[in-house]
Amino acid sequence: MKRYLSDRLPVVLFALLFLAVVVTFQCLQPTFLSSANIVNMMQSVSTTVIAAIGLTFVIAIGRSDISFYMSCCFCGVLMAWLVSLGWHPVPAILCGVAAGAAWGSVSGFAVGKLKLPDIITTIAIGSIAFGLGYLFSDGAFIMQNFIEAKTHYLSQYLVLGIPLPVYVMAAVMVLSYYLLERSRFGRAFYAVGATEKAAYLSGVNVNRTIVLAYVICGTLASVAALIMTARQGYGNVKIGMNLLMPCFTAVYIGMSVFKRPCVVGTALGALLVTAIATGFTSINIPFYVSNLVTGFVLILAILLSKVVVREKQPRMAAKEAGRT
Amino acid sequence: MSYILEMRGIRKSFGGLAALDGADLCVAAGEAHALLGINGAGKSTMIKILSGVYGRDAGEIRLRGEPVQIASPKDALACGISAVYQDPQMVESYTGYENIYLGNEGGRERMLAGVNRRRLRTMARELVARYPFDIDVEKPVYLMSSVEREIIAILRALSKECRVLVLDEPTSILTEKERHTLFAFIHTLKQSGVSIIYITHHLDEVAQVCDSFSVFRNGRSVCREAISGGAVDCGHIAELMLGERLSQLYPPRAGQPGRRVCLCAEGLTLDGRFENIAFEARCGEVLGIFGLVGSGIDELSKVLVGAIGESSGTLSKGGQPLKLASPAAAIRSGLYLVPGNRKTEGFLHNLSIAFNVTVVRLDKVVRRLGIVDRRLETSAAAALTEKLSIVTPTVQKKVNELSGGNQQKVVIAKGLFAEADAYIFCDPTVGVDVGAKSGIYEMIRTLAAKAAVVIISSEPEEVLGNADRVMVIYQGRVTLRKDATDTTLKEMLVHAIAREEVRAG
Repeated sequence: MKRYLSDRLPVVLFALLFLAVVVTFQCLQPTFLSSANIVNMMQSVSTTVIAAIGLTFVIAIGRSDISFYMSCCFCGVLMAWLVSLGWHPVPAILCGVAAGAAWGSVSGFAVGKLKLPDIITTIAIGSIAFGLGYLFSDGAFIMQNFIEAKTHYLSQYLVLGIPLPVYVMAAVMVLSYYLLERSRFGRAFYAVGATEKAAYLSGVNVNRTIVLAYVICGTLASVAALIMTARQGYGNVKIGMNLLMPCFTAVYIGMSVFKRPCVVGTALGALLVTAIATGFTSINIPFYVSNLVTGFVLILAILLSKVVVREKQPRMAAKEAGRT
Repeated sequence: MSYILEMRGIRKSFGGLAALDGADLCVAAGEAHALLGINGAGKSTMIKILSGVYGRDAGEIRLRGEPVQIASPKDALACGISAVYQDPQMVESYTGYENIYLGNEGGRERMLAGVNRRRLRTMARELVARYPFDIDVEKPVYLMSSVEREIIAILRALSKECRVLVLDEPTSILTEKERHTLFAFIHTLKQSGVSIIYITHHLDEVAQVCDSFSVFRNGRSVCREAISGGAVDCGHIAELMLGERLSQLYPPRAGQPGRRVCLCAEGLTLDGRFENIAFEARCGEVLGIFGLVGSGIDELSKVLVGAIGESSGTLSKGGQPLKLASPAAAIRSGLYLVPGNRKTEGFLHNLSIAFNVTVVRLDKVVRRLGIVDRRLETSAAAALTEKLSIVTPTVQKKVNELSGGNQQKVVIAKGLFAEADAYIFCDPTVGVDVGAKSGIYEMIRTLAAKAAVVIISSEPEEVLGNADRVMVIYQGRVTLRKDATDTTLKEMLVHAIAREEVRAG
């Protein structure tokens, strides 16, 4: 019973924190919980959740990806450009997603097969992707044919009064949950993230798992970028530039609650981050203040998620020493 | 005889486990003193106490007869004690003299003034003049050979007014010729009055460079003897290193030799680690391979399951040739390695017993669509924890929260779950208490009834106690091959510490 409580305590704390944030903003700005703002928040949450779940796979294998928020910019521009050529949005969207997978596989190949250091390498690859997208679009907005082709439906189409991205988010969550946490394939991600050499000797295909994690991350980031592009109503290369911080914060909040990177935790984290960001916007506080706050939240989440690990270290060290 | 360094009655325990239980170590000025003992005898702990890495629980350290306090590595340096560990780390792009004086470039007032290279170079030249040796200290370290790097590391230690120098297996990465270069330098050092504590597993080196030796066993120093005439009696030292006879924790051996050859290796070679190793492991018996750390046995275990790719030679199982590209392929063909270092190779940190056990064969606990059946997983893991008597409230407990012995049993449970028909155990009981040890040995013997089992270990007792047939490896070559009943611990150890004895025996 005691153990049960101590396991659930972080969840309860999270719920209280979330409630506090919501109530605070509601008091400061009575329209915060208006139906319009809730729909707005749902749209915003859905893209953060989708991209952050992709990142969850990379964090699960014990790596970082700093390329996804830049490479997805390329994908948004690509889709808008194809639409401007007169393509139907569906194949254009598929091409955008394929591009996301391709950039993910580049990062995965570099980190998993070539064994390059993850952070620096993905910064470089992301910059290349972003640079190519910028060169390609010349930094301009690509709006020809965008509304006419009904591309914005990807973001605004309502099914039963709920915007389409929420369904996409739900589908991504369910699939990712089964893939990462229930299926045999998901075990490989956690195994690699836990102790890579032991995973390898236990028969896990480590390289393939690393590549796969980056491909999933790149793909889901591109899905998020395409939805955001559709919401904006034109192609703009800077579309994903604000994804990095919320995604990392979401994953780490999830880890501080559940003590491991997981789908539900990440989604909850994304919810909190979005509530904070939209809350600040709704009381007319500029975005950089919300960035500042998110930064603090991220640091706090990292600290909390590390607490468990730190408790165990001294005992392990003593045992190791005893063996020498 | 007056000693420059005396360590007396040193005790140190880690979490209730005594690593040192009243050990002495004495070194005279200008002599090279060998510190010998099998793995786990307490050599490393002793040296770490001397160099201030660990504190001691009891005992005293005297320098030139005066008691000294060594509470940190800084204190040790101040006392003139330096240690050079295996494969010393250096700044590759810096020159030799920059590495010698790294972190020691000048007084604090020079912090912002930049490094005075000319002064360092002059100092380095003076240092080399004091301990004459033909080395170009202006060469960047990445261009240096292994022995030159070793000497730079030693010079670095000497630059801090070192009187007692600890060399921990200094020849482990050196070639035969480089060894002699290093030995020549050690002779120069001795003539300059530097005392050397020399840790090694190679007795032929001891005979060449050392003047005396101490043997450690189970955390105690059992003797201190002088070496006369440049020769050591391997048999005598092996006896000192081993001490007591076989303890009673080993299960009875197989009644008759195994019939069917299950795992067969021929001409296995891994450049620089081992050469031309061949063996047959039969179903129904245990093959024991003994070698000390650095003999190549750890690499051998990895090569057998395809975890190291660049080897040559052939491996076959049940008559079928095996071409293993990875441990995953080995598991698929029924060959499982229980690796030696459980913390980095054995189990997955922060994950449950159930997760750890089933990860090797997830296909056994999967329902349709690749979804893991958690009930099946839990019951399979629970059955194995019971079979191996792993002490844990639930199989959801994280493996790193268990005791060392139970962790090791989880690693073995993984192997059982893999249902292989050939098992390789590498150092299966490192850091495991006696009770858990005999449980593991029982398990291995039971396993051998249905499968071929190879135990690769750096503990001679473990190999002789469990195996039906024994193989000894020294410096990557097989030096002894016998039935367990025909050999003794002493014979095995003699073949594991020097090759000279092979011709004699």
